[in-house]
Amino acid sequence: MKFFPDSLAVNKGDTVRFVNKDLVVHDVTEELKQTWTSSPLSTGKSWDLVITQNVAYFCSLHVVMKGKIVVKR
Amino acid sequence: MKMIKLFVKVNLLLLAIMLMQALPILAQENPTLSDPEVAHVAVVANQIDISYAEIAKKRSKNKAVLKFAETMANDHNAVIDQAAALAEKLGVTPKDNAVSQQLLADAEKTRKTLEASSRKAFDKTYIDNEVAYHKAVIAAVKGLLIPETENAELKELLQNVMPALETHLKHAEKVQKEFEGK
Repeated sequence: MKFFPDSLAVNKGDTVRFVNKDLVVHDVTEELKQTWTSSPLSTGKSWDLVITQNVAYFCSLHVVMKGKIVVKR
Repeated sequence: MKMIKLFVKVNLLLLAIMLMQALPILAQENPTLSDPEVAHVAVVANQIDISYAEIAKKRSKNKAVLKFAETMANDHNAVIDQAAALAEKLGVTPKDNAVSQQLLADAEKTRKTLEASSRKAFDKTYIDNEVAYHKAVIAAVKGLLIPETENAELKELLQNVMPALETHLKHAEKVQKEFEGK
């Protein structure tokens, strides 16, 4: 299981929508200090994140699932 | 403003924990499993890991261990639901068999070990077992259960669960590092 894609470059202000396509619950959580989280997303649920800066995130339920989003310069 | 969809591409994880000690059993005796028997083994194997997780949730005070146990319980319950739905769709009744019985017998021994371990030793005992269990399951699903399965949908479910099993293993190994040398 993994974020797909697990690396993404977007423009500042873009909204990224995370969609759980799995049959188990996942979340999207800021990796370094857990400053934000989507809260648990069950199958089929989605969550939007407006990108204002580079972010590294993971699933706090499956801690080896990681991803990053960078803002294009 | 642009909207970008990012999929959490997960793979079922189905039979997750399956076949813990079944690997040596199957390797030694090379039994032939029917699809209803494969389905039964899958459900039993998931139930076993849930039972370990329940023990961990009662005995551990370690945050990482508790989080891992919670994830195992939730994920394997989801897998059981998926397997049950498929069995119903296919009109298959999971059938008890020697592998399932051996899994349960071995799980009972593990349960006793977990229950008997000291509070200090519990976390390491639990997570070491989870690492070993998932390694055995991955090997068994890949090398034995998938080849044994005839129904295409059941085979696909087994194949789809493999990445999830590997994620569980990596997660367990990550937690295990916390207890190295203890």
